[in-house]
Formats: sequence, structure tokens, C-alpha cells
Amino acid sequence: MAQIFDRRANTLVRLTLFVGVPLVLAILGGIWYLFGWSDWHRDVGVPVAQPGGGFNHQLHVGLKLDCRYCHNAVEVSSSANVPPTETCMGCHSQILTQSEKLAFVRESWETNTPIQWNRVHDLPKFVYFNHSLHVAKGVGCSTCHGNIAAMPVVAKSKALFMSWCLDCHRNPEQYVRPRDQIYNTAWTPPADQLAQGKKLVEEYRIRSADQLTNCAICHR
Amino acid sequence: MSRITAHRRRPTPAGFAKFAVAACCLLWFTTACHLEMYDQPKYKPLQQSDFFADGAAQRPLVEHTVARGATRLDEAATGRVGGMPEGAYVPSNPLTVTPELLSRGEERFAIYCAVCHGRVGNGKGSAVYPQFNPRPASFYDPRIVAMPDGELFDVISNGRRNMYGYRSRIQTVEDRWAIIAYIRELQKNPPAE
Repeated sequence: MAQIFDRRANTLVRLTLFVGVPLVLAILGGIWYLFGWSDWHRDVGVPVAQPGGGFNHQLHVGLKLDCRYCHNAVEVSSSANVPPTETCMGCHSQILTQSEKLAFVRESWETNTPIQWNRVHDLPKFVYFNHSLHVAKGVGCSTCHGNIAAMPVVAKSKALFMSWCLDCHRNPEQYVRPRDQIYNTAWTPPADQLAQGKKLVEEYRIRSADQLTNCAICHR
Repeated sequence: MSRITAHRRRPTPAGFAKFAVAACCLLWFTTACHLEMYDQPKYKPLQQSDFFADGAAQRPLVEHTVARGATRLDEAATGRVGGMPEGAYVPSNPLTVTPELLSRGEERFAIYCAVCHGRVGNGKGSAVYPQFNPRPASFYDPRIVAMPDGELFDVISNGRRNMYGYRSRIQTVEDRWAIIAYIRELQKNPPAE
């Protein structure tokens, strides 16, 4: 009986096994890796659907409302709270009282049921992020949240990778800003940010990179 | 003993290569979903809950309850003479007015009050709409200049007319007194109309 495979087939099999298969795996792995680290994978810039089309930050910040007018706990609590319906009704009991778009706010107020907003920045449960600490140590809102004041519908502006957290925990002088600029969402770093930042790191007594990269700083 | 050794196949380089390739392929599956730690059975602030009827994990305080040790019945906490809930308004700020208190008051005023009452306190804030009825008060109105500090404290805490109370947002009474101290400071220099 004649041989089905040529002698050269042996080489071909070896090539496939030891070069072809690893190559395909490497390419797939590479795609997998790049996908995992992509902003796209983390829905950066994708507006999150909210009740009533969402709270228009652009409009409300345009009225010169400070971030803390609604997110009043940001300076004292780990959580920068989403305001209770009472805060909305403070104005909307008088403005747009018949608006169809705000029907869900009035319903929440009348039935004493919280509005169910959808979380945009959803950290894993093993991360213990503390807002009050960060704003007290010179990290402004927009460093993590982007220029919220320009967002009609809020979307993530950072992918919130741990490596990104660590970037600042290792070299906070890149990002810290003066106390009076924390809530300025349009703040841009000055040309001499590193020099200014180093001074601020000292002034705020921000801990050393060694301490800030300890696992227990964020995970416990 | 010797039987077992005799039957064990000695690893060959080719066998090891096959094993390595197979193991690498299997590793692929170990990277799948590991969401248990991401999504632990605990609540974070403002999270949704299927357990409670209103869907909120955070529970409101039971009505008419006060946290142990949180009862304060002094004038600074109530704005009333003797700290009595139904007493007369205290005429002046129970806190000592210091530069620190004033600058704290200025900052809080800018956040919570200025949007309606204006940065200078003239009632022409950035978020005032024509529908506001009555319009936000000017702090230079003789009616408000004449108000005892305790009454201002009551207005900030509990609201008045169409202004909602700010008790839940300006949470510490010290901050409210700081704002009052700042308003009094503003009133000393009325802006030119």
C-alpha cells in the first residue's frame, strides 16, 4: 500500500505543532491582553443610561452649583453620595414642576422611594476607595472623573485600572493640585506641575510611595 | 514498591513537550470568570437591595431615635435659648467668631447659599429662576438684618417658605453658625445697588 503522506509531512506536522500552534495562541493571547487593558473594554466614554435620561451635569454646573451642593458628603465620607430626592426637589418644587422628564423625581418624592440611578464608576468590592481622604490630599474630582461639568450624560473618563491608581500612588506630585482647585473640573495642570506637585505633596503630608503602594492601603 | 517503580513511565523530552502544550491550552480556561471577589455579598453605600421594599440597602434612621451620645441640647445645637426646643431664638452666635470660623463660613456660604442668595448675599444668585416665588431673600433686607441669629439657624436647618432645610447637607451645626457669622459680616458692608 502506498504511503498516504509524503516524508515532508513530518516536518509540516512538527512545524504546525511547535511553531503554528504557539503562534496562533500568542496572537489570540495578545488580542486578549490588549482587549483587557483597553478603555473600550471598560466602557470609557460610553454614557450610562439613567432614569429620565440622566442628570444633566453640564446644565446644573453651568448654574454655578458646586459639586458639594449635591455631593455634600464627599469631604467627610468615603462615599461621595448621590443626593437624596430632597435635594432635587429643593429647586424642582418650583422649576419645571410639570415637566414630563422629571416625573420620576416627583414620584420618588411623593412615594418616599429612592431614585434608582445606575452606577457609572463601579469599583470591585475589594477596593476601599475613600473620597474624603483624596479630596483632602489634593486630588481633584476631575483627575478621576474627567470634566463632569462638560458632560450632559455622565460617562467614565478613566478605565479605573489598578495600574492607573498605582501611577498616582507612586508619584502623586503628577496630579495633586491646590486646595482651592479641587472642585474646579476644568483645572489643567500648570507647566511646572512636577515642581508645584512636589511642594503640595509635602504640604499635604502625603505618605511615601512605599506606604501608598502597600496592598492594605486599598485592599483589606 | 518495586512493582510501582517498574510500571511508571519515565518522562521523555517529547512527553514533556506534549504535556507543556496541553497545560498551556488548559491555562486558557483558568483566566475565565473570577467575579466572586469583585461582587461580594455585602453592600456598599447607596447600593440596591432586593431585600427591602424600597430597594435601598441603606436604611433610614427609625423615626424619633437619636444615636447614643448624640443628644445635644445646648444653644449651639438648637439655636434656642437654654437649648430648649420651644425656647426663644438665641440673639447672637453661640460660637466665638474667629477668622477661621468666618473663612469656613465663607466657603460653605459659597457652596450652599450663594446659588440662590448670591455671592454677595443680595438674593441674586446664579440659579435663581423667575418661577421662584417668593424670590430668594436679600440679606440686606431689614427684616433679615433684624432676625436673631437663632432664627437664621432655624431657617438654615429647617427651611422657610419655599426654601428647603439644609440640615442634611450642612450637617454640622458649627458649619451653620459659621455661615451665620459670615452673613452677619456681609451685612456690615451692603453692596451698592
